[in-house]
Amino acid sequence: MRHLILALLAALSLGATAPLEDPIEIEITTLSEFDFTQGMDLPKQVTELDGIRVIFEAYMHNETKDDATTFLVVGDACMCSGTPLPNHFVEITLDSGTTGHRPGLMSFEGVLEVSEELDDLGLVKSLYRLDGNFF
Amino acid sequence: MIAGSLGVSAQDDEKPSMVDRLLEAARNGSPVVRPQAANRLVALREEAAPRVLELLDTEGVRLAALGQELIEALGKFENLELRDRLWAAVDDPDFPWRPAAARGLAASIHDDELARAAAWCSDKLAAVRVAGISALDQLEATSHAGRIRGLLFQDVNDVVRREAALLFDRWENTWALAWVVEELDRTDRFFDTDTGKIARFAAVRALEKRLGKKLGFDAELPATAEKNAEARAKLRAEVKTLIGGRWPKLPRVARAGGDVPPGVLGVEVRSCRAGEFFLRFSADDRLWIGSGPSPIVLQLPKGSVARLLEATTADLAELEPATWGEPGCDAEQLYLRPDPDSPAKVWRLSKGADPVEGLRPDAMSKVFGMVQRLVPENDEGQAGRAQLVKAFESVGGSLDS
Repeated sequence: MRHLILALLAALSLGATAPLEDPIEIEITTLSEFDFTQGMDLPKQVTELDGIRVIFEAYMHNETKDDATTFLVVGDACMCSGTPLPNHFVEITLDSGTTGHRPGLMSFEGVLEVSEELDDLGLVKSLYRLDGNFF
Repeated sequence: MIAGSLGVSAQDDEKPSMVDRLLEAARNGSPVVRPQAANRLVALREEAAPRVLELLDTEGVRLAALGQELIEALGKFENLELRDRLWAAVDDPDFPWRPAAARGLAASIHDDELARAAAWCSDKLAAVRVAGISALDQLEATSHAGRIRGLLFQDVNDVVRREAALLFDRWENTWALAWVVEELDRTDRFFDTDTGKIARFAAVRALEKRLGKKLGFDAELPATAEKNAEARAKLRAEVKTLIGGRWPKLPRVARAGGDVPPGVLGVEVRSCRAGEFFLRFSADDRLWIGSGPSPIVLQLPKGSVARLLEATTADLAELEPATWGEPGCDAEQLYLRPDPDSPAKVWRLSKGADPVEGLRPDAMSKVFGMVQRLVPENDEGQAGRAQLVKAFESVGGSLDS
């Protein structure tokens, strides 16, 4: 307890924000490996990641436009295996800066949000959203 | 915008109809939304089919411009006029969304379409061959078992072999399940793509569905992982019993565990017209053709790969890894990874149906030119030099720069 108080005092005295927790390394297949249907109860391995800082490897979707702050990432670069479901995408919103499409596998880190977000037609706009960055 | 392009809708209502809104979402929405919108339209097909025909005939929208999600859904509209257009699209080697059109047709294939659908099993594109398997499955066309058997034993694409195996199993050739079980042992990669893991996941899903239970096999991990050892052994024993106690001898192309070294330079070409090619060069002067567990391997003259690497590094010195063009079914990727512990650098270009002048940077053309000269002229599997060059030309244009 003494250490915790000292650490808090030190942080306050430096005007620092709380340190970021270490991200949990996950596989994007954990998010995609079930047959999603709208309104379903999501598997536990997915819901338990809601609100958690994670890091995973994925590919930028090839429709990523120049100067994008929000874009989609996928686990399969060519999307060759038939019609993708909403749980095959993660919507990334960059903490800062913009990007265009970059080829190749990259790491994405940030806080993951898991819930169905619907558009005005009632279609699932996104199931996974991540505020963070990539490298 | 569809509503705008159609002008006043049939109901003379200023607000676009639900069909128009869904058509707009299916054509121009995000990749997440497009398939869902297309599927909703299937439910509204009696109203949606005439609107799609109006788009094509009155508004001059090309079929390809509807996008692959909507094109696939059109096959389920049960509209004969649209169906004729989908068939024409599949028969057109230049149509960019042939696999989507074939999948759509296969989902509701008609008896009198059997012969045409069976011919898809010999298509250049693996995704069209998969649609052919699906069509034969729908029609329970066991008279075409020979075609399926051919795919099972010879196809260079793992998805095609897996679908052929599962169909053969459904046609009471349970021994074909051994092909799917074998995929649990895969650990192959194509540069950054963990092709082995993708195959493990697909195999686990297929086997769990087939056997009606969880296998306890963690597809994230290789079969050799301690966690998977027991599940793998139990599964093999169960399937062996199911198929009568004899484990079939798998063809080389389907066997897992090929010792494929990581490539230092690789090329992936996906051409709507000329097929798909995966080449990788390893530091020990070998060329590996194919992306699966057992690619074709060719020994090159000593020093070939070192010279290729040196020239490539020089040619690409001024060209940062990047992407060019628009999304489409034609794509070329160049991978460079001289250091196996580092991620590959990737240069990519892609395009839709229309040729794009000057799409490929000269430096990439030079590298691809060197690559094709190292591919044998004879037809070795799918990747003889002539076919490869044709694929290059149909995507990024001529290699002469």
